[in-house]
Amino acid sequence: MSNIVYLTDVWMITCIVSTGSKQAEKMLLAARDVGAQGAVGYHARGYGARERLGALAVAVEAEKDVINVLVSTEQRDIVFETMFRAGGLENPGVGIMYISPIEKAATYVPDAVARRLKKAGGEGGGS
Amino acid sequence: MPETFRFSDFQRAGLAEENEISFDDVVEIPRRDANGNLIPVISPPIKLTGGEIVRLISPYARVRLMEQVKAVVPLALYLALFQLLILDQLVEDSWLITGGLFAVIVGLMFFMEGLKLGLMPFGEAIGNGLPKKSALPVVLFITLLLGIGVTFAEPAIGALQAAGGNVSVEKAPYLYALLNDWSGALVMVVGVSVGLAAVLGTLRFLYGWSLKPLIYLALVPLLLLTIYASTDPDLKVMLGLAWDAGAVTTGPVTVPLVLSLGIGIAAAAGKGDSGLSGFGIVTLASLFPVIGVLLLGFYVSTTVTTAEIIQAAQAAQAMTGAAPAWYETSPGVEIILGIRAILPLVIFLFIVLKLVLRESLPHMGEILYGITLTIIGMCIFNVGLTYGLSQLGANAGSMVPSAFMAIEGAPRSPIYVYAVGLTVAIVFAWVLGFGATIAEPALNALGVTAEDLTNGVFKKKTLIYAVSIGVAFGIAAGLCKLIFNLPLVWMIVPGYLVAIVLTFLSDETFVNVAWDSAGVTTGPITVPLVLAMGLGFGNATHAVEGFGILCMASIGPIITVMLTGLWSRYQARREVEAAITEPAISNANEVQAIV
Repeated sequence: MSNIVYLTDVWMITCIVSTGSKQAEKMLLAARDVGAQGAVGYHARGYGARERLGALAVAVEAEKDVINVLVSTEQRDIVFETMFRAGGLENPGVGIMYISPIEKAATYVPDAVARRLKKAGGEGGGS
Repeated sequence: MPETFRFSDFQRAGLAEENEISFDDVVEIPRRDANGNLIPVISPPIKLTGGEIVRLISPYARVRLMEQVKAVVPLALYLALFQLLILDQLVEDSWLITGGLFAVIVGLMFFMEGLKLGLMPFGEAIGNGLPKKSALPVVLFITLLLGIGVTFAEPAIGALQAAGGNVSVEKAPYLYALLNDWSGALVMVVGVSVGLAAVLGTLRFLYGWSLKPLIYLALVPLLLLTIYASTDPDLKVMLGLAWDAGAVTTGPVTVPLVLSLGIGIAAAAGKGDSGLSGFGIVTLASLFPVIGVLLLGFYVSTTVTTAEIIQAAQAAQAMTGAAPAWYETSPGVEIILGIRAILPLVIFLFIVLKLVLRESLPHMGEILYGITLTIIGMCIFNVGLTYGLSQLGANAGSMVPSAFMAIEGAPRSPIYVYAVGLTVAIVFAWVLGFGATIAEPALNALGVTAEDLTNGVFKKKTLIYAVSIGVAFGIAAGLCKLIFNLPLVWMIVPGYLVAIVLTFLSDETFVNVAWDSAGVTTGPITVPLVLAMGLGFGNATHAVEGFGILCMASIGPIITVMLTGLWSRYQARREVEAAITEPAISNANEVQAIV
């Protein structure tokens, strides 16, 4: 039985944006260009501010795309800002994004990589 | 002297200014009253400043505007540039046409958004709720009425009525009568046919019938009626209109509304999971109206004589000296048409919801906003249809023949040698058909469905190209019909006979995709443009009537898609056979051959 190799220094960026304007796709492409490894996305329905907007609510779609991106500590702020800009989240009604800490993660880590990193950084050493 | 920075300072300066606000300062913290109970927090409505409203609305409007701009502008540019560069002819009234096209873009933008917000929630609520609450006959009756209602609300239907003014009463009296005096009855007959198609299509979902026998059953009387009509010189001129009516009906209102009801019924009966449910209604809804219009034509021809129609038309022309009322002149008539198209459908849906379902819809304000948008959009679209699309199409249609024959109003015509000019005209039609189809968003959606259904054997791209090439050849063939004044029967009957043979040979999946692809291609921009172009072209070449191009554009993709399907099946089979007869060289080859 082989040992599980844990990844530490992992953060999760979550973005919630409207589905119709294809924002999520733009943000993912931008994130990939600054080194984000991958993402999961799903559809959701938003509740909240929309109901308090009155007639303007029609401009904010209730259908949302939610995307989760796992990033390393040093990537975190750059990826976050790039995605924020790419999605135009500084505009009203576009969406929200946040960062949550991840205790640890595990996935398939090729033996060669694990061995090389252990040699360089010692036990549990990141990137 | 070298200066040093801390890397994190550099990063902060280069990226963004960060400000932190505590969330505690933003939200209201619930407090307790004297008894320790929580006092409910009431969030006030959000107030936005003018600038914020602009920033909120502008991306919303821009996305929707660009969708329509992408659909209209390339086609309009193509037509204008073709006239300018190849025919060396300026587009007449270019400012009026530009304004009209802008109205089409804005009108469609409002209309589509209104459809999504205002009419679709009705469709969904009725589709989900009705089959559970009512008996099947009631549901089917409502489906029939819905079919009629959506036909009136279809934006492209206005193009048929607009085309009526361009038909010469002397050459084609019955055609003139159908499009003018009987135009209400014409749309009604088309609506009833769409309703019947919806009922039959729904029954098909419910009982899992194959589409093939339904196609045979619809086509046999259809082709017989067509052949019968072609023997009578008075009835012959109606064939083009009848076949084109089928292509006009299946647009952005009919397809989603009727489908949502049909799928809802199938789902309530526990039969909604077949990948093919949803197909077939579009096919039947483009075949049945042809029968309906032909029968109406027969009826008209037995009740009035050609002499009476010509007399009445001349009398009406003599009367036009009097100033027409506001609702008979241009902007008024379009607004009346727009309201008359949408309002009955909305009232009908509302009655079904209240009386049969006894339900109310959430977000009533949003739905009212949607319905208002739909009506405004329809009115603006109708104005644009008259001044923009119909004008542009008629203009292009009347100028294209100058490539190969002498035309009044085109001083240097014929511009090219006959054979060259003819080729130019036909290539023009081919490219127009190809370009207009390949960008159609509905076709993209059909492509995705087809790829899913065939587990990726039939690629999305393959379908889009097959359909576009089919439409391109169809429009080119329709143009040839006008140039050489060929009887439409000669093209329709062999075309559909080939389609029947291919239907017999093909798999059920391909039959469904192929026949539905014909209805998908004719949207609210292509239909008026091609109709007007045909009529203008027909007038210029002195053909009796200019209909028939659209129906050729329907039969084209049916044949090309089924041929492509048969070809991909043949290839797959040959590869399997090759793998069985020859010993496989390597494992990889064998796997590929079987896949």
